[in-house]
Amino acid sequence: MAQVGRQTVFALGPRSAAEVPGAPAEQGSGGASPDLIAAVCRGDEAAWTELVRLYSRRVFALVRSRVRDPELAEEITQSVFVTLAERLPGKGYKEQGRFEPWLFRIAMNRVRDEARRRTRGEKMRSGLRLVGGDAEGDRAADEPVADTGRLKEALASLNDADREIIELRHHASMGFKDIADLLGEPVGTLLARHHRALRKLRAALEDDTSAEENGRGARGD
Amino acid sequence: MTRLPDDIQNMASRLDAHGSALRGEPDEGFESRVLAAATLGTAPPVRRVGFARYAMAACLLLAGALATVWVVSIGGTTGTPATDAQLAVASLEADVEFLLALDDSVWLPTDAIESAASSAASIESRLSEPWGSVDELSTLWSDSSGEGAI
Repeated sequence: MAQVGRQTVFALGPRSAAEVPGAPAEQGSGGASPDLIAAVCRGDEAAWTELVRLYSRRVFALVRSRVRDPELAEEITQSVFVTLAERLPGKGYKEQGRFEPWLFRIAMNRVRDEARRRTRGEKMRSGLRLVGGDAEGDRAADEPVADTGRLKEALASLNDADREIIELRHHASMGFKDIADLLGEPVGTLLARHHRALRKLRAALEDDTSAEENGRGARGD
Repeated sequence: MTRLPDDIQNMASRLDAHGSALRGEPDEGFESRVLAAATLGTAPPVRRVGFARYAMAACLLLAGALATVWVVSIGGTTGTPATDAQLAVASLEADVEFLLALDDSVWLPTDAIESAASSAASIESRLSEPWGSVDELSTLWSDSSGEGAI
């Protein structure tokens, strides 16, 4: 994401390391190069380590945005990489520049499977949440409590499709082309949906803030 | 490329910051754990963990039930209780073996060991005959070994 004057320009392609806040400092790029994927497919251990380093936290962030329990989020992330390890090296995967959509699709499916499974049981229901459920439990360590809580509530007010785009773009740090590939939509449509989702989110946050102010006024704070 | 107005850009920045916090949430060993799980193929798919818990509980219950059935129907460990006479002979034999082990000792005369051994053999040979109590055996032992045999 580059800034031009007071306007922001979103690039369509993969996000670079500079665009992926929270990525490890030594991370060289936002995504894996085709050479790296090819090396992993050949069984190169160093390449595999690099791939895990590049993607594990991004997968975790995507999973964590839907899962309240951080340990469960890590387990799901691990299971995604186990699947990757089973399918990538020498198992006929052909790199066609669609690695990221493929990887995050696996992650999303795993989260959906887990959600489906957990909603069957009472215990499971407490482990998963809709965004905005438990602000304290969902809060990442260095985020202000109130801010995160409001943001999550606003996210929860979005429909699932809008929320998905937001999470893929801002939590998993995917490029728009990859998201479009993953969701099977034209890039233009996706950009419009992203823009609309951001507007809805902003409106939801404003509603929340004004409701809070009204509440304070009524109490005479 | 898409230009976004400031308010939307602020919203996007806020979401980016939240995403950043989520990505920074795992500890330093996170990548190593993911690598290890992927390398070993032992990621704990939650489904399997859940199933394993139920399976383990079921196994414990089954084991408990089998143990109960065993105790109730068979009566626990089924060893044949030793008779008093058998215990007495075992004790005598142990004494003889102990004395033999001390064969080389200066303070123990060889004839004492031989005497004790012959006493044990004598008693053992009489065990085939019907006989009474441990007291009788003790008497027999003291008669055979004599005073100061040991």
